[in-house]
Amino acid sequence: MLAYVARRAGVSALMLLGVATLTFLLVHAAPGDPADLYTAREMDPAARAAVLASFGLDRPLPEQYLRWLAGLARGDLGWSFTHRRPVIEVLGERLAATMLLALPAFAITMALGAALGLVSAWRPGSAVDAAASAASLLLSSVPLFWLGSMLILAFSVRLGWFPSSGMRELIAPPGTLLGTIGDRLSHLALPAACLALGSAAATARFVRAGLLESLASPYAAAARARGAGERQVLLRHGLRNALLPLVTLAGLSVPFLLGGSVLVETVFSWPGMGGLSVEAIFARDYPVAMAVQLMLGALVVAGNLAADLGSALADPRLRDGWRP
Amino acid sequence: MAAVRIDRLTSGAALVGMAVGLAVLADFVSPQDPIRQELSFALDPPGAYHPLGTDRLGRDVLARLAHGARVTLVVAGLGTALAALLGAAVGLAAAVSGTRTGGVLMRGVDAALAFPTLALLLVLASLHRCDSVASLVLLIGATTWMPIARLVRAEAVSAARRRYVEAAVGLGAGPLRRAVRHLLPNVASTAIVAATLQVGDAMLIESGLSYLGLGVAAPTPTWGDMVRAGTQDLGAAWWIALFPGLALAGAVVGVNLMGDGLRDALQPGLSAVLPGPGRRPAPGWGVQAADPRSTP
Repeated sequence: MLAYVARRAGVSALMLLGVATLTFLLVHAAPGDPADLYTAREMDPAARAAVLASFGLDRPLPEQYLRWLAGLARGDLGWSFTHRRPVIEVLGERLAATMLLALPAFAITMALGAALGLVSAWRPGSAVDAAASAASLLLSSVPLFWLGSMLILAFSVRLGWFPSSGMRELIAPPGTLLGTIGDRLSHLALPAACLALGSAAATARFVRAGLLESLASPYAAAARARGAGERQVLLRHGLRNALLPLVTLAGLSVPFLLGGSVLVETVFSWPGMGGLSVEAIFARDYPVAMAVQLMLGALVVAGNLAADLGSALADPRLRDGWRP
Repeated sequence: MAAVRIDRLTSGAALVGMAVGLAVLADFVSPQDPIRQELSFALDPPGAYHPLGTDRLGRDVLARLAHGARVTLVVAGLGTALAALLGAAVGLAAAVSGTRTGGVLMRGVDAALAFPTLALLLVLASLHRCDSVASLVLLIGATTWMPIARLVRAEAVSAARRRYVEAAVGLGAGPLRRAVRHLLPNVASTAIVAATLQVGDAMLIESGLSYLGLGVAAPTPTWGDMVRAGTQDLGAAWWIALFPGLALAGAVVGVNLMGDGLRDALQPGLSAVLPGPGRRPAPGWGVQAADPRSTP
């Protein structure tokens, strides 16, 4: 197991380096000289050279690349041109906001998905199963940004239950702690629901397939033969075994929730990392854009690693080159 | 069960047919010009003259909806076709080249899969100015071929063990001939089914980019851009955002139903292997399940 962990971690580290390199190349291969964004052609050549030198843009590309990597290794992501602050500070704030959105969304996804999957696997082929399958097909086909708009239309514009955008009440912030929590929750409701609904559909299908598979297995038959009721077989034997792969799915869907937040955060003006990536790209704030992309890449790589290690932990056959 | 499968395929095809009809017959669906602004009719609710209402600039929503279908369908359809070609080529190449070269190729595919597609799309679409239909087709093709390559390779490797392929090798068939003549027919249906299941995701990617303002450049109407514009007027004019989103959701449901139906019809054994829509953690936004069992 240890050798497997070491090998997978090594592969992940290489992958991360690849992500960093590609990020750097893509940004620097973009048409137009990045230097032109921070200086003007008609500037005094000496002043222009000084500006470029202060950003390190006067160095040859390989050297810029190595400097950037060295900075990354020290946790220095550079300086944001639009925020006039170190990138790591900006990123940290936005990452916290994204987590505030993604973690509840993740919890809703898992709970709703498991419930929906359980309901459909209870009587496969029944009307309930058909309805749950239709719901999950619909939810996984609906564009998130439109779902978000419709949630705003229904619950914010028409019913007025929840605010339509932002993370906090700006004009009349509540004074008490309880009020602040309530304010956050009401701002969180719609974006979290939007983010969760799309991925709950995927989870539900996954749980249903896993449950049906384990209900058809010999141990389920053995449990029935011992006289266990169908409910007990489903909950004690089926669900337990079907939840194991769900742990893997959980590892894989965390980066999705963060990635999906790009759209959802844009719809709801949530001040998170997804919104930041779009802002940075439109503002040509290269250090921030590269850092966000790298962050998303790191999360995806980490999610894959966690999923691999999780399933290897659960199923020893997956370790060390065993092939079915 | 057979009846259910046929139903899925037909109902999916019907939905897709409606979207295609909308795109092809756009000029007949609505005689209005999708781009012409008539500010005196701005934010008109649905009525006899504008069946789906008008937007903030007085443009007819139905006409824009029909013309917007063209962008989404062409970009998603051609982009995925490109992905299928690329994926089949890489998968076959990995299958017919030696264990070592093939392994290296597939590690490359794995690395590409692990790359955060969304961030990549954002950077490419904005910094490299992919705002034409052709460049978006390339973008979709270049970022979505990897799962197809994996499936094709797995299928081709097992097909390569069959007697007639070994016989062809014995008769001196080179790798290219083996790949094209003997393995391609075996993997074609896998590639087609997998590609169909990805078209919906491609539609969501295209419209998502348009929504963020990174898709096909204005004034060409696109569904994503229509939803974005409509979001600003949700309180006064719900119809602007509602209809393009409905059309998009309908088209994606249709393609996914078609893919499910095709998969069950063509490859009954495959449904366990091939991730259908929703069996992955996410539609379209960049994360593919890394199942350790599927990387031999």
